[in-house]
Amino acid sequence: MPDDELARRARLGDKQAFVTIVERHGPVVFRYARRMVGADDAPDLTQETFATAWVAIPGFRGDSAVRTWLLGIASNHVRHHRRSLARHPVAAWDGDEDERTTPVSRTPEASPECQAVDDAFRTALESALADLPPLQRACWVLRDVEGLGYAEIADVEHTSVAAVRGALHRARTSLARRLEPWR
Amino acid sequence: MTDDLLARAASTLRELTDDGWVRARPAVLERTLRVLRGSDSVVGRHADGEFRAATAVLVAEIRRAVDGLTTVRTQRVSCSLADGGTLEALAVEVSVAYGSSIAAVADDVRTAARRAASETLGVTLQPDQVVVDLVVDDVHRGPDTGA
Repeated sequence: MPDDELARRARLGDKQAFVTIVERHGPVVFRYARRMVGADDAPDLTQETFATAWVAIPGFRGDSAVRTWLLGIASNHVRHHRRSLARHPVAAWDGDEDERTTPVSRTPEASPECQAVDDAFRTALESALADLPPLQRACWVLRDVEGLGYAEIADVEHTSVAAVRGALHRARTSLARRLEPWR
Repeated sequence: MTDDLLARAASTLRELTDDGWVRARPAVLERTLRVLRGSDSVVGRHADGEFRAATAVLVAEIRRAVDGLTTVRTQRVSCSLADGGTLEALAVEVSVAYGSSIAAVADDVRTAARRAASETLGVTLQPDQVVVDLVVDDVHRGPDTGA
């Protein structure tokens, strides 16, 4: 069933249709949350995103894709989270040294050497990403990992397409510089 | 993105299995199912007397009934309540299948909406008791056109 049909039904109170939306878009929202606030806070932020979406969906007119709309809600919660951290600082997130993620492509035949290189590359990437300013990180993740268009990213991040292009360019330059040893 | 290194970086993140989502999923679904939308309550009646139901429940039932008509998709339903919370009027926005008779559809939608409201609230609602305003705000390809 297409997203717009699920959204129509959810708008009119069909919770099962909304659950299908959660199942379909939960992974992308979670991935975005994880890159933006870290592995520890990503589950709560994802919950907040979908709870907000259920309440707000009667006002969703379908002007954007459901995925873009959900990521926009997640982006609002990320900003709220950041403001909250600024008021009540805790240990800063320093990237995900998270062995709980497993590369799908890793096959049992992969040599230990290759696995070690992959792991080290991933660790360097996580660290480089965590050091990017939030808008640059968001733009790179949404464009190069999730494949959103510039206009969609501008919607999600409540900014202009020109700002997205600029942030993306700076993100790519910084990441390329940080990952240069892996070239 | 032409840089091979950045392409590899993006590919690395795409290929990660987010075990985190797998673990978070049950709590996200549980929370989603618990969240309630705020809505007014409408007066209904059963054998033991009056009860109140959220208008969100009524809207969901009307959507189910109107969507049961093959040429109509419900877009929005709003309820107007009288003082005391009895149902006074319904506004039903729909999309109709291209080529279908609007007049016939209007009759069917009004009948279906009023019947669903009557069954949900436990009272027989006559046309002079509950007005059903209909807005046709879109058309769509119908079942005969393969949509």
